[in-house]
Amino acid sequence: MTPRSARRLLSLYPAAWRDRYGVEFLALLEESRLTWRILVDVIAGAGREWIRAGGALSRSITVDVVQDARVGARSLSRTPVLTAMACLTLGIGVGANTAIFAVVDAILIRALPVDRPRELVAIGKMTAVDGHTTGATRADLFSFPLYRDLRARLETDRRAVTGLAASGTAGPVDVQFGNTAPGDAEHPNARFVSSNYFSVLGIKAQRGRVFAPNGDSPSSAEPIVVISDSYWRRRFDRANDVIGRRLKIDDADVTIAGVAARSFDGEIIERPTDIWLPLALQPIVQPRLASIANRGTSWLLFLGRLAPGVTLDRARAAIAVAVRAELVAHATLPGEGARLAKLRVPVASGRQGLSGVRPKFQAALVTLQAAVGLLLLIVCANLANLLGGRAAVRRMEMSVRLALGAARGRLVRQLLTETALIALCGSVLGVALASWGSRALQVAAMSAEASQAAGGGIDLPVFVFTLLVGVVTLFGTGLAPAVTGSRADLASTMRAGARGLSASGGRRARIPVGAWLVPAQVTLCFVLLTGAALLARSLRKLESDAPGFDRDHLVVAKVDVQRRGIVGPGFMALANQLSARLAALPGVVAATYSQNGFFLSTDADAIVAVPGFAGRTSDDSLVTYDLVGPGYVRAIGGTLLRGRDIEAGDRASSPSVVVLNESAARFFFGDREAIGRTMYFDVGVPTTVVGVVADVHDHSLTTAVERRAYAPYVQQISGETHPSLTLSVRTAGDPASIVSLVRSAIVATDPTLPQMVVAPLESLVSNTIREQRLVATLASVFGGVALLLAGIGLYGVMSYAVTRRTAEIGIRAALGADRSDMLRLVMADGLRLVAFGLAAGLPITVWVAHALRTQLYGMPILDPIAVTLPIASVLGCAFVGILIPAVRATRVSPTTALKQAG
Amino acid sequence: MARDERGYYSDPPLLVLASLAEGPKHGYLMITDIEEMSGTRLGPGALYGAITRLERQGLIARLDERERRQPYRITPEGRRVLRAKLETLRAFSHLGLKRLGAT
Repeated sequence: MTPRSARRLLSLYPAAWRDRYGVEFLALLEESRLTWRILVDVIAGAGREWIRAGGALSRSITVDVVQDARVGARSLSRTPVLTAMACLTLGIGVGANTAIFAVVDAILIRALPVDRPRELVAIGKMTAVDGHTTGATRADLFSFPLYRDLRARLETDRRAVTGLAASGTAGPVDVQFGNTAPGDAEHPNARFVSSNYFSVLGIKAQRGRVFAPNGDSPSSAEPIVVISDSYWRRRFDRANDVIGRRLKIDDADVTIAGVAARSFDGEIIERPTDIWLPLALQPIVQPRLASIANRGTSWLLFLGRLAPGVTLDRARAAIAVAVRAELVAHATLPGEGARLAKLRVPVASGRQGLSGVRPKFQAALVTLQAAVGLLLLIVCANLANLLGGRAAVRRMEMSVRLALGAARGRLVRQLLTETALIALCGSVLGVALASWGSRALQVAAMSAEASQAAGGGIDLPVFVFTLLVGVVTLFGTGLAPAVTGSRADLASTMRAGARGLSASGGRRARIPVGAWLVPAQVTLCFVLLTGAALLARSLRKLESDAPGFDRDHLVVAKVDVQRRGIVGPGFMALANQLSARLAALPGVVAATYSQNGFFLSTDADAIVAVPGFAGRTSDDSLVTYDLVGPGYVRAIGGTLLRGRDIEAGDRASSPSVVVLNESAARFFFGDREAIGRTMYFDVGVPTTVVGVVADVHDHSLTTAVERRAYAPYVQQISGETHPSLTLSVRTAGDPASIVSLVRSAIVATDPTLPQMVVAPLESLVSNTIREQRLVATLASVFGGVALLLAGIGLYGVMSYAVTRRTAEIGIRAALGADRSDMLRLVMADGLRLVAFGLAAGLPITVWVAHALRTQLYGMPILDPIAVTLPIASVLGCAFVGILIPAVRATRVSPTTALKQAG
Repeated sequence: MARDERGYYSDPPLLVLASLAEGPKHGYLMITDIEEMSGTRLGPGALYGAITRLERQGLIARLDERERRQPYRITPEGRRVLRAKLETLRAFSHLGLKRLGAT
């Protein structure tokens, strides 16, 4: 072949190979004929050489990296405390951020896995996802008739939404498969949804079909359900023949029509839905529950899809107008229309679905995310401090190595490798902390099954991002000392070392430059700790305050009378029989019953007319109420302020009576005596106030007690018949010990009565302050972490400072300085930094305490304990952080120091 | 040399070693020698792939360059390796042929 072709072919080979074999290979090629076969042969040969060259290169890099890593690990192991601190610091920073962000992402950021989630709009009160109220109509939780009217209205004019879907709680449902016994029923999460639910959300079936949009007419309801992918997997092991299987849900026989798309498990983020039931099927599934045709039964929330080109604001206005118009159009009581016309209709973006948890946790999560973000900054500062100090200490080593001919790039690489090793260890620790932490957080914030559904807890992108931030920062903090360290020139370093002063050879610096980071850390730590202490103290207050009833000695038992269809006289007989039997149990002081009970998220309200009382707004005539058994106030351990309790003598036939709580009595009657006055409830029967009871926090510890009335169950002051029975049993000793006795007493009275809740009241109460507990716990944990970091930071800075002053200290010691003088000298330097930090923290703390005001539940903003305790902890921790290097300084023997100086 | 292509034996490093066992050669000579010896005509790419490998393993070495043609010689280590490989091949071919029932 021609020399030209030969050269072309040779150029395919790697340069190194060409250098060695190029000339002779050209000669050979020129002697060969250019055929296809030769061409292929040469190209393949070139490919082999490239592969061989690549392998050799990567091998040499690997060898270098392994060598660097080995040297780095050895070097790091010479300063085990510092290395451990750096790893721990980074691990905590990365772990805390990832853990919190995983929860923030799950609750606040992630969009519903539906078609174009941005177009969704959520109507109703988010926290009422499980709400079911009877009585006055409301504008934040809706009835079935209202849904049908509103949907017709909105979908016709299409100015706000093109589709309006509804969903409502099904409560706990009993699901039986085939021939299982009623006692073996399962209780998956079920939810009633409108027929257009899936089409509005744009969710398709992965198997079978979803509901077809229809008029949601109960008369033509098809007995079918759709199940979620997760339920299909969990319960049916992904059986192919699941479509068409029959099951019994409460009272209805239904058929599985489809399995929803894999990613979709309902619109409620904290609790995945297992089974979707058609809304129209509700009367068949729960025939004894208050009729869904009733406009007073509010239990639905809406999800709408915005009409093209309509903004959320415009839709909000249009929807509010439409809802109020529907409410007013069906007002039944005189004057109610005016009240309804003024109600606020909550309309928000539905992008992230519905959540009772989100509104409660939003502020807390944002606060926590900000706190951990700051924590990460402090972590980086700390690392810069630790590594900077380390690099400075090693200047001598570096300059000697340079002087002996080490390449600068090599030294930088060595220092960076050490940094990378720390990054690796820290990240591994961070992953462990984050995966454990985010799981715990999700369980605390949502529920075990939701966190299960959310997967491993940590989102990969989230983690990668945080890791990247950590590594980039670490290299940022590691690079500067590496470069300056490698630039050290032997002579000046030796000279500086000889003087025992600043290695930079400049002005004498007792505390290194990075030292301002320490007061900053102290400030943050102080603020975090004070915030945490305030939250913890308020939690303690919530946990221990007397809520107006005997919280430590009550057992609450809710039985399902609706399921059994017990109404009328039979119901009252059962209630009296049960409470009598429970009262006779050993260890029981008293027992009674009521409609709604304590902390069970069911409540009722009524509109009252009070002669002589004129409300300023329509809401003023609202009062919440509970229908109760005889001796109610006594049985729950309430405090009767005036008048009498509801008694057995109050019968259906006797005059209507009511006991008011103090708030209601003061609100309606002011300073005048309430006893003996008359009020008119919904049904218009004159009702006499016979007693006033001290306010009872019967549904929430964190909100103000509402105006409340307690009326005899037998007299049914409201027209609503919604039989519901909660028994309250007051014990002398530990309530947990009689739970099983209560259960068997209920079984003895009526073996078939479903028992929904039987638990000590305290366990129900603590559920309601779960978010307060979570926030207080996390804030405390972060406060503790900040404290630890501040301690590490102080330790790092002070040991660095001490190392630099070794010679000075030695000389002072040689000149006869007292050991305690030396100690004082070093301690004073450190404590000055801490004092700066605390002083800067005070005003910020006051500001933070103001911001937390709403979560303090009546605690004074500057609670003395919540302020002094953090100061003491910061000082204590700082003291230890400074003491260790300070003591070490005083142990320096004058000879060593002088040798170093000489 | 009208042999069935499937009967060719092609293990370039072994062929190169065997060719150099007779005496030093440069590339072009090796190709012709190997073709005569085994019927396999190595391309330049395959040949130099083998040379690169063998030289790195220390089984062959360069002689002084004459013009552009670089002659190679087999090293003592190369002889040892070649011998060992060929012994294995002999035992293997003997056994293989016996199994085929050849005499």
